Amino acid sequence: MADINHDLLHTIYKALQKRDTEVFGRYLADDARHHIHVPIEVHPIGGLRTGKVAIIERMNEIARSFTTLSFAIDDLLVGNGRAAARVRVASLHRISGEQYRGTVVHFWTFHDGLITGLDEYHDMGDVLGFTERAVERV
Amino acid sequence: MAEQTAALILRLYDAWRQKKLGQVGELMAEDFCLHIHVPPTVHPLGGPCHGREAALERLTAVSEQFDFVSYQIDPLLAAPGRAATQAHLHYLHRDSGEHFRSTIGHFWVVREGLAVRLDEYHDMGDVTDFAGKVVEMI
Repeated sequence: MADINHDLLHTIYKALQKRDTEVFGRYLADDARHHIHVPIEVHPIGGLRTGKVAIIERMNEIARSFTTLSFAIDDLLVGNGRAAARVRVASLHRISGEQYRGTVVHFWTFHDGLITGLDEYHDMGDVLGFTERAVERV
Repeated sequence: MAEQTAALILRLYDAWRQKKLGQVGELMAEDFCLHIHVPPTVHPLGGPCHGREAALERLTAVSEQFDFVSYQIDPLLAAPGRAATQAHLHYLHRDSGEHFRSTIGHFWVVREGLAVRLDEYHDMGDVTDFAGKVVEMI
C-alpha cells in the first residue's frame, strides 16, 4: 500500500486536475465518502456521496459541467494518515459561460493507503456569487 | 518547529473551548487576521477582520451569543508555521435556544511563536439552516 506523503497527494491532485478518474479511482477505498459542504439546493454537485462509484460519477458530472482554467495547490499538510490542502481553482461553467474562481479546502483521511474520506469546503461568498451569476445567464 | 506550531495551536483551542479570551489574545500577533469564509449578509459574524483587537471582538461576540456544548478537533496537521484541522462543534444560541451543530475547517499561519492568521470554512447548509431558524425566532 502507498505511503501517505506529499508525493502521493501530488499524484492524487494531478489526477483531480486532469479529471483522470482511472488514476484517482486507484486510490479510492470502495466505501470512501466525499462530502462537498455545499447543499444540493445551492448547487447539484454539492452534498455527500458515499462509495467509489458515486464519487467517480460526481467527478464525471463536474468534468461535464466545468472546464478547468487553473488549479494551484497553495498549502499542503500531510501526516498520520491525514492530509489537508488549500487549492486555488478557476473553472468555466460550460452552460452559463460564467467562471467560478475561489479557494477550495480539502481534508483527506486514508486507511491502508486508500482514501476513505474527503471533506471539501468552499468560501460561501464565492459559491453564492457564482450561482447567482450562472442562474442569471442560463 | 512543527511541534512548536502544533503546541501553540492546541493551546489556542484549549483556551477557546474554555472561553478564556485573554489567553486566546496572548497567543495572537497584533496583526492577527481572522477570516470566516461566510458572507456577513448570510451571518453577521462572517467575513474578514484585521488586527488582534478586531478578532477578539468577533470571538467575544461568538462566546457571548453561544454556549459551547462541545468542541472537538481532529488530530492536528502541523508544519513549521502552518497548521490545519477540522473542528466538530455543537453550540447553543442563547437568544433563540437553537442548536448549531457543524464541522468546520481551519487553516492557521504562525510566525515567531504567535498565530497570525486563521481561515475558517463552514458547511454552507448548516450555516444557512441555522441563520434561517434564528432569524425566524428572534
